[in-house]
Amino acid sequence: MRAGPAAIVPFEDFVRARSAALFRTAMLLTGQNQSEAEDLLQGALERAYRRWGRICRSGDPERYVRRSLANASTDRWRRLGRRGEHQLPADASGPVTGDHAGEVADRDFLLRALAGLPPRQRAVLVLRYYCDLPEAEIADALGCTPGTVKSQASRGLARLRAISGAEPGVSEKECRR
Amino acid sequence: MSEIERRLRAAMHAAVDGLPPPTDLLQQVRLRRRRHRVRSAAVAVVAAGALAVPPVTLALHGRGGQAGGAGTPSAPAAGQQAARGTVLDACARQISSPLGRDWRQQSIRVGPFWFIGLRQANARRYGPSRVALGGMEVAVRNDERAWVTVAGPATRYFRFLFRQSDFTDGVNGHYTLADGEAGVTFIGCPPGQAYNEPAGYTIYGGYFLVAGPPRCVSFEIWTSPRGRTERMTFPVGGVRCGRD
Repeated sequence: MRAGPAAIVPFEDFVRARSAALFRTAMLLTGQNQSEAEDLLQGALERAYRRWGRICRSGDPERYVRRSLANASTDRWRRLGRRGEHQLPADASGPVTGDHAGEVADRDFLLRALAGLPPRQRAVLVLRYYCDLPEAEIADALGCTPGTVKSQASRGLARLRAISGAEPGVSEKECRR
Repeated sequence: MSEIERRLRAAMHAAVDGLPPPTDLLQQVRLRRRRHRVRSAAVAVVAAGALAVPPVTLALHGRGGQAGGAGTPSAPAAGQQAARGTVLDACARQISSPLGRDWRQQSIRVGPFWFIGLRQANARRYGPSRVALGGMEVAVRNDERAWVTVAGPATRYFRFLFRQSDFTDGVNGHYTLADGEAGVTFIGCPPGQAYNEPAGYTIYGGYFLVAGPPRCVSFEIWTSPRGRTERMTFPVGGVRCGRD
């Protein structure tokens, strides 16, 4: 949701309108850990609440909250000392696909692999492929350069591909150039 | 878009699309907000207290060494009813909390004192803690005072958390009952210093700790204009409580 440059959306209205989408993003950022996702979202919203007028005047409160979510998810990882990550072996073979059950298993496998990525790589992939943000906006959210976003996405996808046994696609090759 | 990108996008959408947001999200955000404000105010009070000259402090309180500063435990002063437990008598500890139009229907009143929203008290466990944490707001009429202590069986499983919550992180909630206090004294601000919302009252915000399953909790309450101790019982969680 984009507010006009000077419009101040009531905080409660913003939460009602956008909390579902933000919660889903938080779920993916935390590897689908519901209690962590709730905690992450509450913290991000509370920080936004403190300076709501200023955030609204900047024109895009959702962008602020999303950035806060992404940064907090990587900070949490640092604080927790990587606890809770599930490292999958690089040579693990992916599930058999071709039927509905196989598709479901494939999705589950990919999500587990996503949860096992380093948080910054995971955040890049979630913001890129779930939130459909451009690289520049992801870089702004994570406080890094677009080049870093590109390399993190490339590494993350390579890792997922290695785990699931998929072939590299055109766009990944382009990213590496 | 490559195959892996397409599959990843589909997997993420399939996993979370349609998930509803947490039902009590706004309430939890407000709880955090209150804690942040209270903590900030307490830090300011502590900083100011560290700079204050002791004789001035004593003169202001007029109670010698028994003065209970903001959020400090105190011994009962002269006259048993003067203060109990943690004393909240600094206007810096008051909070501003917009109350709904029907806040009185959800609250419990004892003379000049209100437990805001306590008719539907809930507590929640954070992480592996065995003690649940709930938000508690009270309103005391300006210039009046009230103390509240836990009574009956609840003394084994209930504590207020108006003192240490300023300084420890309640979000992840690793409290024990020992972190709380069995009683709190609330003193209303002079009218000119209260936020005045609702008009004529000072609001304090804190928490309570409760161990075990949903329970009935009893308090003893003394308020300054009534000058007598009364007892009340309320439920925490989905239980029904008879008169204590």
